[in-house]
Amino acid sequence: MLVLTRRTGDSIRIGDEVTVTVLDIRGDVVRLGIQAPRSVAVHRDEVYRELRRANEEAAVTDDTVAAGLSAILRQAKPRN
Amino acid sequence: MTRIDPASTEDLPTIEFSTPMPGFPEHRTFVLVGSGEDEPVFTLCSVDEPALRFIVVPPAPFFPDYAPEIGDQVLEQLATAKADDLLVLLVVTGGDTPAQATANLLAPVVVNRATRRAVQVILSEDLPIRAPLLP
Repeated sequence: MLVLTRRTGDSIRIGDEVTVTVLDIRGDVVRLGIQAPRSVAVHRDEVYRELRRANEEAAVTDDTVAAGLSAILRQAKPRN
Repeated sequence: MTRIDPASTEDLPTIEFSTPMPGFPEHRTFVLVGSGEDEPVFTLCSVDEPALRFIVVPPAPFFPDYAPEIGDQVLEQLATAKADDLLVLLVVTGGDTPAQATANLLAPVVVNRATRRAVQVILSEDLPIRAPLLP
């Protein structure tokens, strides 16, 4: 892992289009500003990992599971 | 459930993710298959790997109050200026019983109806990633 020391107001540039700026440091909390093209998704790592895990759980590769889940939802009475 | 033969899916809506769903970087193109019985259940089937599919539902029948705020960045990514052009689908995770099925309210799949481009959006609102689908 590349390790850089930066102060408040300093930035790092990742590739040609992504800039990360240290906006504020208070105790053990750091506020970062991120400038990136709209095509680059920026997320908190724990949120991204959680979504990846949820997607992996949601993925169905077994026909009987898919059919069973569809059947359950078809029979289930939605709210209201 | 029928296996999807990519050659036979030309008349089905094909959805192209502009950014792949997290966890599935190799799968961008999916076919949206209805349950065929006018019921609010759809299946997103990967064109590259037909065995891979996600069960998705429109939010309204299950979560009538769900009104996600779609940011400008997403609108731009999907090349539209109007939220009305968008179709919102929730990814469902099955359980052993109907009571265990959950829907992902935090990260809906948002589709531009006109271009069929899609992205799984992580909303900035505080919403559950596993909300019980049934009351």
